Amino acid sequence: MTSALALTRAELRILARDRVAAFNVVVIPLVAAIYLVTNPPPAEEIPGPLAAAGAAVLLAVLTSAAMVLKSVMTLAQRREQHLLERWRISGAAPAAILAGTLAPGVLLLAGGIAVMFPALAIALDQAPVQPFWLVLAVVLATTLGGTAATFTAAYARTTESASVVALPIFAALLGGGIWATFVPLGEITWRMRATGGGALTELVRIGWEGPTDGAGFVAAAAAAGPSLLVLVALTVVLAVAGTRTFRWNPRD
Amino acid sequence: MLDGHGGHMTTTATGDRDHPQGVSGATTTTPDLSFRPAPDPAVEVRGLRCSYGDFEAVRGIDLRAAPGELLAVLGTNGAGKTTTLEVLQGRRRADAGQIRVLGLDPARQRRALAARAGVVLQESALPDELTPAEFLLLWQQMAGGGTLTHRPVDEQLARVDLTHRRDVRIGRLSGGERRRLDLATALSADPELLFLDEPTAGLDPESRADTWTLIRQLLHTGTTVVLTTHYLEEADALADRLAIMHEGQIEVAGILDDVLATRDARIRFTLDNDTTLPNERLIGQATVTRQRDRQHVEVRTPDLADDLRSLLAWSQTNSIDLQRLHASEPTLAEVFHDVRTTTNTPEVTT
Repeated sequence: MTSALALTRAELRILARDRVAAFNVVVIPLVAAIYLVTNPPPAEEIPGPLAAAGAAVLLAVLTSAAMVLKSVMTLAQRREQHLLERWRISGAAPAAILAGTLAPGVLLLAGGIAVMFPALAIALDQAPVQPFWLVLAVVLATTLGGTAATFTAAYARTTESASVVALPIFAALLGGGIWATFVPLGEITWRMRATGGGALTELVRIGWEGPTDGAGFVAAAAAAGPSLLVLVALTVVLAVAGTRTFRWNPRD
Repeated sequence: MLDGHGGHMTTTATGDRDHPQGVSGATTTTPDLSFRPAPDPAVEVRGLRCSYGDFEAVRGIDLRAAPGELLAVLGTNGAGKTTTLEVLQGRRRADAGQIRVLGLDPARQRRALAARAGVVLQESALPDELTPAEFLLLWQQMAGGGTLTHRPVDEQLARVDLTHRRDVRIGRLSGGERRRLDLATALSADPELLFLDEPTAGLDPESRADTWTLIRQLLHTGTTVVLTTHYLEEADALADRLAIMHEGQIEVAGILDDVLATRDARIRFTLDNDTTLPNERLIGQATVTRQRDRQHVEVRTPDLADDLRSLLAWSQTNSIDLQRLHASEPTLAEVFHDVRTTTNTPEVTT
């Protein structure tokens, strides 16, 4: 725990010292949120549950870009810098090293959501019906993104190739997320869910719009079941695969 | 100036003079003739094999280093030195072999070993965006799960002469300064065992000399050191025991003096063309080789002092002028050269 926290602090310090990155991470979401809240679209022009759709797309974007893409690049860079080896030598647990190294991606995702979800709700005047499912979606997006990044990083030989290597998972999460946004909630298919992004979108929409087959928590849980199953299964498969393939040393 | 532990040397002689396959080179301050059991080796490796896919990088090597000894592992590029060190540190699993480091199995007890061993990696592994002080503090929190006792950061920096660079981003340090920061990191918790993978690569001569001084001080306080280097003079200056690897195997191993003793010393001189040598077995056990130009003569001898004396007596008796006379003990460079050119050099048994 100490190691993970120490490494998290160091990674955040490194991120903060990159002025452009720090600006993009902190200022842009804040400006976007403030603009949205201060310039809401006219109510009559809002087509249905736009907040849910916006939140779903936002989660897909942040999961694929901030969590997966950034984390794959960070892991590849730290391996190239031999810092992953360095941390292994310290005796820190592999899970602690990965948690600390992936922490900036997690905070980018969580921070973006924390700013933008309320902004969407306020600007569009559409509060989420069951926020629990939104929180669960963000947690699962974080774990899925983290395991996907760890698995993918094994195949990124260099920092430069990391973005290309991460492209299939990036596309699946983002494309699947958008795909499942534009169909009625009850018509989201297993193929959409299997992308990971589709399953996250379904959870967000259930949390924001409420389940189609009832109003209670049980109805929501029943509706969310398939997506939960897919997300947990994908996370477990990627975690197992990542454990077997992850490379700490560029020579491996 | 780099600063070591500064402790007193109280070690007794260890190694081969006490038991087979042990150590030499540790200076004895007080003769101790009473029987005592030989200390367990700090590093003991038997039959180590390690592969990258189909390529076998290490092919069944044996290594041993006693506590307080410096073992230098030399070799050509790709000889398997770094792979061997990685296995010893628990960072890479061996395909075969028995490995004990500080009495631990590195593969199974990596964290316990990490708490007792310091490592300088071959590549300088440092985050450019942090300062040396920030990095050392981070290392203290990381190493051993934050449970180890470390030297204060400023003391660590002073030890490697980096106090004046305390708050400069690591990315702005020179290669030599980065190397010294690597060393400070490895020494942070005063480890019993230190792995140094080419620690002075890229250092200027003064920094290298300071690093040697620090290593010697660490040896005096009982730290065991496993060193890989391409600088033969470094091994010559520091090593108690050495192993020369070539293509994954150890071609020469043993106490430095014993390794050198297997090679003949050389005497070189030039003669006038018309000077005749009595025969090729000129002196003692020496072998005399005369070049085609008839001028350059090389004498290889196992006993430099005696044979040099004989040679000088012969030249005086026969009034022969030995021009450009040069006599030298065998050097590590010659041993290393032999390993590179022949792979059947017998291992020195001690």
